[in-house]
Amino acid sequence: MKIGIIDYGGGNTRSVVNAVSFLGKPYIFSDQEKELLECSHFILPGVGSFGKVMELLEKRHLTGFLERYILKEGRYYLGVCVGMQILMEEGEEFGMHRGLGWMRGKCLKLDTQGLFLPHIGWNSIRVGTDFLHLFNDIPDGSSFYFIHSYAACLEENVPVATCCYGTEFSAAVMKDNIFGVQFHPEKSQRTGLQLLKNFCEL
Amino acid sequence: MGKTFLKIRIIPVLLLRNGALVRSRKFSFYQITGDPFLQVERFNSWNVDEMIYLDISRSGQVEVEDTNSVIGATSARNRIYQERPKDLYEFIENLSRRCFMPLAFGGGIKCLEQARKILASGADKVVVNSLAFKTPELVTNIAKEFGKQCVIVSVDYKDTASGKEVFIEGGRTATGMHALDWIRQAERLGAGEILINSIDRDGMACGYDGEFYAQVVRSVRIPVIICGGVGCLEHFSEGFRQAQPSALAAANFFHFIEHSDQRIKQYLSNEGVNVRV
Repeated sequence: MKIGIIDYGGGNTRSVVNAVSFLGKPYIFSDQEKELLECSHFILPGVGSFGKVMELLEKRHLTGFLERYILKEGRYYLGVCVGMQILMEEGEEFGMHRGLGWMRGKCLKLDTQGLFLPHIGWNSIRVGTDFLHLFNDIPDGSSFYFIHSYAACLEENVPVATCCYGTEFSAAVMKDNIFGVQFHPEKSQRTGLQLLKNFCEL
Repeated sequence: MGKTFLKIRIIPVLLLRNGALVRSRKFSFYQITGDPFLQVERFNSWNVDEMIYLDISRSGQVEVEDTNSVIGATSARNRIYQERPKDLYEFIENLSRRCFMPLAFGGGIKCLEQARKILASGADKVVVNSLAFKTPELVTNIAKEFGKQCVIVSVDYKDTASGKEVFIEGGRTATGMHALDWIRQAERLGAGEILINSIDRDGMACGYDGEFYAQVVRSVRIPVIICGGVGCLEHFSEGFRQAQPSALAAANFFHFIEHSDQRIKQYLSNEGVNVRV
């Protein structure tokens, strides 16, 4: 088992590296295909906007790489924040941008019914009973740290965890070997570390 | 700040002065409380919601007293730095390695480049105070470059003849401006959050300036973190009920009571406040 944390040159990705390192899991932080090749799990820390992250991944020829190893070979993927959003077919932040499209749906601005954006802070989630692995040993209703203005709106029936901020949205999603979380597990204290541990131990 | 489903955050504010953690009273008396790293590890193990770290180092003579009377101080005494850490950014990097929660860092930030380095070193937010007052456009520039969510404008005030007057430079310089005016302006400039602190109540354990904080919370549409004066658990719930802020912060309180974080949250939860237990 080895965790590949994908370094696409975005903002502060250090905290994800810190968390995985703290858990004592073998990892590599890289944007090099030949280094990431040996990894069984991939984490994409999401810092930046939808289009920007896609552009940075494409510039490093990582979208094809991820497709090959995750979609075709079935290695594990965890997308954090924008890393979850880009699982959608497209996202509307700063204009429409194409996503990875591994799940059907769009990433849209949160409709908060007047509450202000971004949605920042600790909020509790409800985990679907069909959601496997990721939330093991994490009680339903646990709180995680969120910071975002956009969220994935799924158009296919896959297991999700939901959160409410003015309106309900998907806080986590899974489809076979692919996972996404809208919150930041690396900033969510023990509960977040437990989630990352669960992912690394898949 | 309107009705939200967010938890009310409980935030320890750690004051770093010439490399040591200190407690302060009225911004003028300082007592060393321990090694910053040991404290971060302690708060981390306490599962706190967020942490604000303020570097209040400055040259010149102030009254400082070393003591063993605070928790964790014994092992810390010989590890206390004698000077301001040479490389502040390396220091923040080390902090963030142990910090699995949002970390805000501030103190003496003078330019955009410094803010950039602080964020790149692993902080999630920067706290600006005197700088924001003296060069307001910098608040806007930091917000534009990194997003509003990472700019906390910190406001210190005293009760003076002119009302709640803003003081800058660690409480030494009066500005003549009323705190509410400055806070409204800070929001317009691009502040993502306001941290408000009463110099008169600092370290006095007499409770928050609740009535005034209620006005602060009502006058902006961004989260307000209230600070200054907590001496017992009841002060947290009193402050929350009076002001309805997004976060309750304290400094000294966390240094002297073991597992204070859980005790605060348990207490508030029993009082019906929506906290992350």
